Amino acid sequence: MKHILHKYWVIFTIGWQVAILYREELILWRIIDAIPLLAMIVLWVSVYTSGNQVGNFTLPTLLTYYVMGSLFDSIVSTHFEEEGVREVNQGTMARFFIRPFSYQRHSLMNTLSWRLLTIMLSTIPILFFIFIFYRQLFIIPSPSQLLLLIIMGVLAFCIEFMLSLAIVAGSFFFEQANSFMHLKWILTGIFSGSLLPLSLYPHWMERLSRFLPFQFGFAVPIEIYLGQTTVNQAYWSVLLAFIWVITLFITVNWLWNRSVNKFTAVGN
Amino acid sequence: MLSHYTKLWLNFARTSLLIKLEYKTNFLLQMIIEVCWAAVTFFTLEIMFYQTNSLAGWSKGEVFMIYAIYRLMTAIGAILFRKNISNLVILVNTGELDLLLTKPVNIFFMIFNRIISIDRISQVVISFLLFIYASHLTHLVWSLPRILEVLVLTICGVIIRFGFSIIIHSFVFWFQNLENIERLELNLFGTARFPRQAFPQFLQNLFTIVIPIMFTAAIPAEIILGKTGPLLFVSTIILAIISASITYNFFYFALRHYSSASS
Repeated sequence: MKHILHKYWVIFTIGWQVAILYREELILWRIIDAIPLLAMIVLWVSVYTSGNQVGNFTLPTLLTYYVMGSLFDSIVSTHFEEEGVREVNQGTMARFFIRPFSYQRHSLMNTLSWRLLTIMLSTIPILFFIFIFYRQLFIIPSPSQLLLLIIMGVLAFCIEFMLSLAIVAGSFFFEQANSFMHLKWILTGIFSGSLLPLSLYPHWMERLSRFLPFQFGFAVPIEIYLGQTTVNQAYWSVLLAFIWVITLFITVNWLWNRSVNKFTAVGN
Repeated sequence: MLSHYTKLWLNFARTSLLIKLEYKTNFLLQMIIEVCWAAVTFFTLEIMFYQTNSLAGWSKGEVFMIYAIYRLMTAIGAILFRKNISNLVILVNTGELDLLLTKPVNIFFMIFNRIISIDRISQVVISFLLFIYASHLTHLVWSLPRILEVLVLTICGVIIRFGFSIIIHSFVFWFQNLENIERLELNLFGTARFPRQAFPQFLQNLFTIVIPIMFTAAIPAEIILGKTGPLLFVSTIILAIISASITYNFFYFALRHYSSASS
């Protein structure tokens, strides 16, 4: 057991060292990624200044929704699928079939190390926003909210990880699986609540979003943080997220086992 | 000489089309994805206007006009330049640029015109549909001078936007790790989708004077909708000429710092 743990700890530390190597780039990307968030905030401020009210959101609540939602999203989102698809297309995926650890576990440890650095670096632009809008944004969650947020964070990360893995598995069947990546981004954009709060959607779309797995990375945790959900609704969300994790785990495993049998590679 | 470059460009276009058609499913999927991305923004704006009647004094139709122009410029730039510009990083880091430098062709032309992303054509179709929708909402009447005005503004916008993109990508000659730098261009110029009046004064100045982002969608829409005088129209043309000149000269200045990476 100790040997196995050590093996994954080594993968984690290597991933961490590589991530540290790209720290300047990561900071730059965090700042660049904050631009659309800033634009969205400016737009909503403009809407409110014209005297409009958006759904049941006050301006501070809406600002908190976007800023804290982006922070949560940057912590739980995974992006290794692009690299994975490239590995399959170029045949370098073969190296994982002769190593004493699977691609899935390697990706998990690697992603965790990058997430850790992202968490540290995400605080920079987020603190910038909090500095500007601190009067509106500063909400201290209660211990029960905090516990629910941590649970939701773990479940959302698992869902994100499975979806990324499913795309990599898809690349064994389709040479140009990059399209699936875009599909994931589009679906996440629409159904996670990152573009607009789900409660502003037409009723049928909101209902649909409430059954899909994308909401757990953005809308649900922020609604918990803002106290917009009842205790029962929060527990239901945790249960639904858990069901999605199990469903995706079974599906992705099945898909992965079928996929590796399709894999062919040449090389020296 | 011109005919030589035209022939060369047509050859590049033909080769690019043949490569794209080799992966027919991907070609089709790419088109579907373009439609989906446009639908996401369309849908966001629709819901936004479901909650409010105006955005910084702009009606729904007027905001859609900005978005139509933004999409058209993005589409033309994506077809002609985007892939070539992002490839510059690879060319420099792998040393493949050596090969291009030995060709008896203008290197600026060679680098930024080799790939024509014909699969982005669906974006142009989407832009026209958005123009029709926005014109219907704003009751805008189309005449030949107005079409010419849109054409000139689009060309100017593409030059300004992708000139900026070439400049930031040219930093690869000094800093090698510039993968995905195009996200800077995408995110910055993405703000031009919205009326500039929605931004605080200092951001308006920043996005108009320091980095001319607003000249790539918001200001052209103001001109087309008659919200501003001819001064901005002339300014846009002058800015595009200056931008083209700066881009071209900066690229050659950066190129002088190229050291080959190949063996």
